[in-house]
Amino acid sequence: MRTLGQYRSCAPLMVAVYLLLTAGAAGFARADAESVDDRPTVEQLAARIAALEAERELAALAFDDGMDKGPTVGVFDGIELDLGGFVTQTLTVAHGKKNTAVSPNQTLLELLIRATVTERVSVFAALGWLREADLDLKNPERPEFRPQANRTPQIIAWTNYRHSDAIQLRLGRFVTPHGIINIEHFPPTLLEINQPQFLRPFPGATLFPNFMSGAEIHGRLHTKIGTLSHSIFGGIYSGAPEEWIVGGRLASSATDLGLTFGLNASTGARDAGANDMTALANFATVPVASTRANDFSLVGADVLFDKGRFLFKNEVFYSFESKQSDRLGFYTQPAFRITDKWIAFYRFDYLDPGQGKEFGTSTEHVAGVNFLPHHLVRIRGSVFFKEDIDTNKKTTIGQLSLTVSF
Amino acid sequence: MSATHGKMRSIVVLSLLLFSLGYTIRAVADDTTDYAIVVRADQTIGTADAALIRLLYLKILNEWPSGLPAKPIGPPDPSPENKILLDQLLRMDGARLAQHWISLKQRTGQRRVRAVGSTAQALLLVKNRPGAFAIVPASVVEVDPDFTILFRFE
Repeated sequence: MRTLGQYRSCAPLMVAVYLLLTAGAAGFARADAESVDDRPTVEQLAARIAALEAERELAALAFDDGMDKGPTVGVFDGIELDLGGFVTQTLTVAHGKKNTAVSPNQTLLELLIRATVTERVSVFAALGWLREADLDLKNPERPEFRPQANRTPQIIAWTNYRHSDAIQLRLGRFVTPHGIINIEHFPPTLLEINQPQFLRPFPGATLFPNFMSGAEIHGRLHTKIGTLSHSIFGGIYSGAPEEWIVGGRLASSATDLGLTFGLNASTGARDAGANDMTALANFATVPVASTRANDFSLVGADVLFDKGRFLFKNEVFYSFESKQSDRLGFYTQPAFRITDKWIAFYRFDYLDPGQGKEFGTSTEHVAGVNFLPHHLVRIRGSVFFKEDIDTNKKTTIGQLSLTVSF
Repeated sequence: MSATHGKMRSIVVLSLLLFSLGYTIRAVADDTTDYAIVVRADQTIGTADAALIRLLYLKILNEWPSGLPAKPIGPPDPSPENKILLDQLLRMDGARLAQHWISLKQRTGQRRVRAVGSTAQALLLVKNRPGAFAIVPASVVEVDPDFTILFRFE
């Protein structure tokens, strides 16, 4: 009889035999499995790889190509979240009869955030962090820069409900749907960042507010003759929070011709604000608020021609004022795409703010070029020849600016 | 004798010219590929013409006439179908299209259309995503029951 200890001494050998038998059995089993010809063909593998690549592309499309680049940022709730923005830097030279001032006066960072909450509901916001030394033009012959202000405006923030392309509802703070350039609004696409005179100061309401807080019903329709877009809005300007403004815009685009015609109208009231020269904002010759409380009814038209090398923008607005002189602003701005990287433009700009000689009629001739070395980079050079018609005082302003989008 | 040689030479030269012409025509014909805008076959999108497809691709409009959300798929870039898309459908160059996407991002926060890496990927995405459409070589899909050709480019 063998003792348990004797069996124990054989244990390593038994384990080794067991492992060998197991491995052998596994090997036979594998060989048997391989003998059944269920291995994928080259075509099947190729199809599977194509499917995986497409699914990866699908994921990249969905997540904005964030794959394989480190940790993924998720969304707490909702379907998608997109983040972008731009940085703009300016260098401005202002020359008057009695003074010349030079300053790298603006550094603007703006973030754009869009959240797709459901298939029909989205939220969009533009938030700014701005360092600005305002160009003070209260005496056009003695231009100067004020100390830098550090501003953090909520520029726009709205929620959009899309019933269909033709019927959508927007609530919150939005760009007032009037004209061409006010709707384009942001520096990455502007040939010149100060915008026409009737859109200054910024934000302001010289003819109509740049922004509204309220509601907008808007949409687009595709027809045989082109695209129709409409907008009806009601809300308030931030400087007159109890004065309601209602208005709308109707535009028709003939895509093949490159033509868009727009009609605009709005009516409401203006609050009186500070009416001294210290109320002038950057690059403006009109104060932020009206010098008198006032009811107004505004009409306007715009024509855009954008085809081939030509980009031609025109806008005119006229405001009937109840207790002041009527206001008129218009510009014409032809531009020529010299190459896909260089654009040259000119603008004649006229503004009669209807607020007496203190803030009188002024004209601007603006000439400039844009250079786009990359589609996300825009470098601009502009020269402004400003003239106060009533006083005949003149200012010449040169500005270089760089905008990088992301 | 010299007259016979002359005729022979003329025949040879003429034959060579005809052969060259025929070869050139054939080569050109071989290079001409039809491209088409395709959608998934088992969905209702309504009537769509080139002008509508252009607006949907540029995201100026975002839904088919049936109300189904439209999802444009960008062709590989560079590729012949991308060139056809720019020249014949969008009628703009790549630089202007890039500026359009920046403008759209600034005004509404919408994303640009992303380019895929291959025709196979484009077709798989069209197949997987309701409302998706892409431009692909027509020969790839014209006998495939999974896809409907909306219209062709030449």
